[in-house]
Amino acid sequence: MLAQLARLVRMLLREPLLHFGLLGMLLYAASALVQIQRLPGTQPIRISQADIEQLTAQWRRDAGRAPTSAELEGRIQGLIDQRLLLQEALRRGLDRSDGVVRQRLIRNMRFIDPQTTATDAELLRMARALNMAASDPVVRGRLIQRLQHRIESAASATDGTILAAATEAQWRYSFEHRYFGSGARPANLQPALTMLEAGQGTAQLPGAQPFALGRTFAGQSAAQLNRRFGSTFRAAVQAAEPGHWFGPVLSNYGWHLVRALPPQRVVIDRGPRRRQELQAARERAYLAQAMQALRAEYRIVVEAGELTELSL
Amino acid sequence: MNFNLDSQSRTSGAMRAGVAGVLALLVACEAADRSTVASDGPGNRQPPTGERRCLHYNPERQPLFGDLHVHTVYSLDANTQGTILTPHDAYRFALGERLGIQPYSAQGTALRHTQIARPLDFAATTDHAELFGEVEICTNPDYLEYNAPECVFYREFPDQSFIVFNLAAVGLPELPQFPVPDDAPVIADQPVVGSDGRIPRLPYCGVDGTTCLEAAKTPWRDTQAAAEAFYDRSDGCEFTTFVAYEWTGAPASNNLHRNVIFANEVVPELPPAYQEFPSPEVLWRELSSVCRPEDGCEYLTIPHNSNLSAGTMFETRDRFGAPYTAEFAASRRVNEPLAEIYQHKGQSECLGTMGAGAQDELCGFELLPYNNLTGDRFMGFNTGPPMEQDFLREALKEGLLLEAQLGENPFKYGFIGSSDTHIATPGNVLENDFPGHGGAGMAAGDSVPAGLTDVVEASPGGLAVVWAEQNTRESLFAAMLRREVYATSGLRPIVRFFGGWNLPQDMCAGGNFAAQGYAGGVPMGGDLSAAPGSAAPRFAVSALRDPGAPGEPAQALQRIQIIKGWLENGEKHEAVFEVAGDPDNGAGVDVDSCETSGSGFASLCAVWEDQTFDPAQHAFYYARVVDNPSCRWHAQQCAAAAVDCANPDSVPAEFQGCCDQDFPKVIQERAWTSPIWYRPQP
Repeated sequence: MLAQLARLVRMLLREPLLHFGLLGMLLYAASALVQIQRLPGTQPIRISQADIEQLTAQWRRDAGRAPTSAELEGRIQGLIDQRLLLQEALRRGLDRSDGVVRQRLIRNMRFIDPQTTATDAELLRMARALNMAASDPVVRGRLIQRLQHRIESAASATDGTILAAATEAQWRYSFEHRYFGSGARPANLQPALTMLEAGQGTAQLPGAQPFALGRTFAGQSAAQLNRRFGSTFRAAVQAAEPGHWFGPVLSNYGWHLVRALPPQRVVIDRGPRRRQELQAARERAYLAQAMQALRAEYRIVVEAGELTELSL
Repeated sequence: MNFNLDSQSRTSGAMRAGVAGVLALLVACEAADRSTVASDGPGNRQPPTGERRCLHYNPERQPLFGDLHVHTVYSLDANTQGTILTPHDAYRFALGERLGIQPYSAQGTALRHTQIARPLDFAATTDHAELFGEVEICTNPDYLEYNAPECVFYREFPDQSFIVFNLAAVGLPELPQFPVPDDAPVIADQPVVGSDGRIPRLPYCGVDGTTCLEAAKTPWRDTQAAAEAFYDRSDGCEFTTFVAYEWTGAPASNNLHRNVIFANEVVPELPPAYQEFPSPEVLWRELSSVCRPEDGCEYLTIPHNSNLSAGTMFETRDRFGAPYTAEFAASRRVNEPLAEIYQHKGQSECLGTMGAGAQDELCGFELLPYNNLTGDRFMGFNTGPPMEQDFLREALKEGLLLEAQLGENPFKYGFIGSSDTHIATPGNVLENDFPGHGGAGMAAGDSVPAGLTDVVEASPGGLAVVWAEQNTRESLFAAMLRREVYATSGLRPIVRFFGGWNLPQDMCAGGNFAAQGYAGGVPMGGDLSAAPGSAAPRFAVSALRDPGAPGEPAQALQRIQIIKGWLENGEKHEAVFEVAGDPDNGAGVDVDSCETSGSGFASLCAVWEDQTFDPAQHAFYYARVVDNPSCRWHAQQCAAAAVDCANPDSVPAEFQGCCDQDFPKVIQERAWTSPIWYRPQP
């Protein structure tokens, strides 16, 4: 009788159908587990006492001292963000759609059991059942980054108007000048001014010196004039009546006689740079907003000695 | 690239010579590649026509200030030292934005901030192409190889990985891996057995390094994206960027580094790196095939820190030990019209010890005391004192000699300065606020170390100045090709320099200096035309002081010199002529307080005729504009900390550099113009 039973069991054990059934039950159980994990809200984001100890130890290693309570709080919040993003990435099924993650998980499973004959799909399901995405740093990092990118790219997809070209209107100044050095006496520049007013600009002017930057300047912004010539000179050029020689005017370099040309009102297209800055700012805002929403969706538990709800 | 190191000597000459015979034929072929493309040479190139007209357009050209040597997070040696700023951040800094820089607190808050009062007109980030992919993989968990042992090592031991990665990639290769028997087949000139003329990348880079090369595309694309985003394509033309990178060859720590600058947004898919293209001529050959003018791509290469090449930067032989041919010389001249004469790791102008007439006391400025990138690690093992042949003045003279022999001058360099910052802060080059260059192999810390902000021999670096019609890539690049550029030691003096047979004697009398200069001669970087009869050439130089800015003090000008190098009876000569100002103007500085005294000049101008000119002698001339004395960066920090070297016991260890007599506390800031050349008619 006993021998008969043993034979039956041996026979059953050799029966592929039974294997199939058992494997199916196992997979069913595994996927059920995954289902539970993926239900939002039901699985709290839990920061354990061990997590906190690890954060503290890491801080000690980096900084050579224990973190203050504010510093530790910052680290805990960072960890919560990471786990929220990971959980949400899994909920959205990013682990199934990402090639790098799939490859990595399959590789891990084959590493654990080199003899396995399971297919890639089966291995993936088992990896999910084992919650390997959370324990493997590459997969975890990848999933978090993927979700971040997804959230950030929503920023550009949904709001094109604000990204329109940023333009700015500016005055630009043009002028001609003659230079008389830093040691010139303003009173002595009258003869040269008289000659310039009389249209003798090409003649040799008494006291004139070469000016390595040149004689004519076009399209200068107020900021450019300030930086190069100084604010006194800039103000004089801005206030000048176009077309007439005037001065002497003192710059950072010395004394000048100046003739301004009519200023131009121009519109500068800040173009790509401005768009890029706006885009980056919007992405940051979107991400912050999304994190806020996620925090509302999940229950967050931080164990500090005893289990307590973190007030958010 | 920074101080990397190793512990052995260079490949033996015999080994190189053995290879030379076999492959000498190849040289002529590759040397001809690019010279045929631009046979007229950069010196004759005219400004581009048909491009947009900026509001500030000036047909007589204007000086634009920039930095063409900037490292960001993508450079391994910057990243291992805590730099996390990107090319985008670097460009923001160049535009005047205040940036937080390394070190960072554990929460990621920058512990220091820095800013320049005056934005730059242009900049290029030049990260090391060699480890682009390697760094990307080890810092981005997206990659499967993120957890490779090399990457774990990289993240856990940045100090050591700085050395190991650099050695493996760019320092070690020309060292024999083990003794190679004489009859061993050497596949290329690299005696790395098993290589195919390439240098193997680290194991995690996969077969043929493909994983790392693929990963390199990410930082390279971001480099391009940043350059595009920050290039001002409006009519305001306020800021120009260039897509660029650094080719980082330093066999046995002897520096052969080149910055590669692309003319516009048309660039190769990957920047040719040292591992795959392990000599300058192989680099040029590759560049000329992946960056072709007919596709809209153009480039130039700029060697830097020849002072640290242990005699190899201006070798008069090619990589197989064969002497220069005319084609090879022309190829070098066409590919690299400019050299960086000054940066964080000192000046490469002159040593002042060799050649008839060499007695230039101003060669002592920012002179590093060793001759390669090993620096003073290992108590001077694998390096030696600086060598004259590593300095540009000597190289320029050597170039004249080769020109006399071959009809082609391979060392026809215009001069620029730049920073070589490894904290992504272009143009942060002033003595009074030097945060350290961040590239000396020190590990990232999370606190600001006390004491001097860098090793005492480091310098804040300099600037590149380009005389261009307007601030656009086209206009700047054309000016760089024709060498109408000069270098400064960090300040912003304005210098114009013309040479010619017909320059008016009264050019300093207040007429239109630029118009007269262009009409009667050639600007800096140009070539004098044939000598008309027995006339002597005339040179006109006009300079304006840097007026400084709030927080950026500058001294008045002290003097202008013209430096002449020439050949006489086949021998190299040099002479320094004082042409304007007053070397004995009595200006000085008190090193205890850094208070300056005495007066200088707001502007200086001179017209100088070379009375010793002989139309049969090859020659070059460049101008050096020298400021009144001021405190060097370390003297300012020492004064602020009230370090008292007279009382050695009171000096804290971190301020020991203050009392190092080898490094003068007083400097004279300066500008170096590109030379003007003369060659006799055959």
